[in-house]
Amino acid sequence: MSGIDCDEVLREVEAYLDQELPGDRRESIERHLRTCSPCAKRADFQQRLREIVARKCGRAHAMPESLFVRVRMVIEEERGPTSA
Amino acid sequence: MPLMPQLYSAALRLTRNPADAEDLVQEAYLRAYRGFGGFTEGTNLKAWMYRILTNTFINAYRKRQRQPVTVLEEEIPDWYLYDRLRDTDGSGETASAEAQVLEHMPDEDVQAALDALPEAFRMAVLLADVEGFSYKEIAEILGIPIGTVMSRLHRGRKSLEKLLWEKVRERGLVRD
Repeated sequence: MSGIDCDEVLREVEAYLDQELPGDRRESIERHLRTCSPCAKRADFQQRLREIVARKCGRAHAMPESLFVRVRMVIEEERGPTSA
Repeated sequence: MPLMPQLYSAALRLTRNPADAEDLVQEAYLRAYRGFGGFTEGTNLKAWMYRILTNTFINAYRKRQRQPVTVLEEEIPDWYLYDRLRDTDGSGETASAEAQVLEHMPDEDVQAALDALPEAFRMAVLLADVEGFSYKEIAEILGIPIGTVMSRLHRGRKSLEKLLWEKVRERGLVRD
């Protein structure tokens, strides 16, 4: 087999999903996930969970248009009248 | 200022209220303008802006809010949420079935769960899972070692799972 067991895979799956593992390590995990459905299911769940958190927390919170104007004014004030 | 809506959204998760979020974004842009000389052309502008945003937050707003620096003391097992969702009635054979329960949660619940994380963990999870920064970028943004990023992410995500599970049960999305 691939020489990497479920415990190892589940320990490293977080870094794997974060795309932070070096190539050879990533490949070992991918190979394991292709043949081990309990691990694949956990990895899949973790991936879906992240997508859900990202989507539900990252949704544009309708930034008030006034903020844009406000920031522009503050920066123009900082810049001073000379470079208008 | 193309990043502003995104920074505002992050500011909202950091300060947890719209008025402070607006002030934070304004202050961050002012600091960015003043410090633009310190930005190196060709490097990551987005990460640079988030660094200013989080530093501004840490320096100004934390003091004002007088939040104690909280630590996560509770040890939460790995796969906390998965194991609980799998054990409940109604979840099916695939991971999709378990994740589907979470899809039914209102956005506000997930946001409230993230907001409930202690600040250091909230920032790590926000930067990784919502903003998509790498470990290295998060280390640079927060000024902490990569190992610390990894441990805060790991523990922060587990705490988030526990908080999400509480919300799932409050909403009655699973049967015990």
